[in-house]
Amino acid sequence: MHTGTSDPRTGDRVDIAAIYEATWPRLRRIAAGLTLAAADAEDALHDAYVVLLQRGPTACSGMSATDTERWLVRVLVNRCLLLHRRRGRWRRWLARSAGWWRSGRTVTGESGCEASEARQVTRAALENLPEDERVCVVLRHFCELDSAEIAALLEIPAGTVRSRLRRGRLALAEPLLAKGLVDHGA
Amino acid sequence: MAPETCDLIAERLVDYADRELSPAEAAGVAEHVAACPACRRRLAALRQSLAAAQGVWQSVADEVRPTGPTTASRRRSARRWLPRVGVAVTAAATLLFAVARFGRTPETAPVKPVAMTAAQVEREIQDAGAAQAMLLVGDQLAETPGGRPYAEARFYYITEHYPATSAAAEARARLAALTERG
Repeated sequence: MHTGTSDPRTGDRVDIAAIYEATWPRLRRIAAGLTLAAADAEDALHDAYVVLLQRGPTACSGMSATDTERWLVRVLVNRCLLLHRRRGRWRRWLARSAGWWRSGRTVTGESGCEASEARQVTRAALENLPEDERVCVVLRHFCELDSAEIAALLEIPAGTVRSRLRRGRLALAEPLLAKGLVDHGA
Repeated sequence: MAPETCDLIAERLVDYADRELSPAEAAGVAEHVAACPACRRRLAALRQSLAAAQGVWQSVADEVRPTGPTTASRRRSARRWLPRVGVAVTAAATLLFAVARFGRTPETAPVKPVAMTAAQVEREIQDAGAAQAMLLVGDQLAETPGGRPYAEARFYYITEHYPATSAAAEARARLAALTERG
C-alpha cells in the first residue's frame, strides 16, 4: 500500500496506508462476521479499500480518524450485505435444484463432522438472520462495539440498536431450544 | 411461573445475559430465572448460541488473508469472470464445431487439424478473460488519483503471466504511455 494521496479540491493529504493499517483488524472481523465466508469477506474488503483509494482523498479529507473508519465501515457493511444477498439467492437456487446441498456441504474453516451440531445450527441461524439484526449482532459481539458506538456508526438511535440486538440474540437461541441442543451447564 | 411473565422477561433476558441491566433489574431477572426452568433454558441457549456464533465468526476471520487493492483482485476477477469464461468456452467450441462441420467446401483446401487440445483452448480463453479483466481494473486504477503504482503493477503482471494475450500487448502500450508521461 503506498503512502497517500491528496484531495484535488483542497490539497489536504490523506494517508491511505495509515488508514489501511488502522482499520484492517476491525474491518476483517466485520467482513468475516457478515459474509460468513472467507472468500466473500476478502472480496468485500478489497472492494471497500478500492473505494477508499478512489474516493478517499475527497471523501475523507478533513475527517478525523474515527470518522474515516466509520465511513469505511459503512462502505464495507453495504458491500458485505450485497454479497451475502447474492450468495443467498444462489444457495436457494441450488437448494431447490439439489437436495444434497444442505446436508453434503462443508462449512468454511471446519468440516461437517468436526463441527458440533449446535455450531452448525447456529451458523444456519446466522445465515438467516435479518440484515439489520445481523449487522448489530456482529458489531456488538464480534467487534466489541457498544450500543452507542454502533448507533453512531450506523446513524440510527441507540434504542433501535438494542432492540435489534435483542431480536437477533433470541433468533440465534431459538433453534437450539427447538432442537433440544441446549447444554444446561452453559 | 406464569407464561406472560416469561414472555415479558424474554427480551430483558438478553440484556441480562449481556450484563446490560442495572443491578436492581438484574436482581429481578435473576430471581425469576432461579425459579423458572424455561427461562433458565433460554438463558443457557442465549449464552451457548453466542459462543457458537463467535466460534463461527472467528473461524471465518482466521481464513481471511490480508487484502489490499493489489493482492485480491486477480482471484476476485477470476471468480467473477469464470462463469462468463464458461459461456465463452461453450461458444468457441460450438463455433469450432460449426466451422469444422459446415464451413469446408469442396473447393477449399483441407483444413489442417489444429494441434491443440480442448483443455489448451479452454486455458487460453480463461487466460484471455482474466488478463482482460485485470486490464480493465488497471485502467480504472490509472485514472484514480494515487492509483498509478497499482495500475503499473497490474500491467506488469499481465505482460509477465499472460504474454500471449491481446491484453498483454495493450498492457505494454499502457506501460509505455505511462513511462512517457513520466
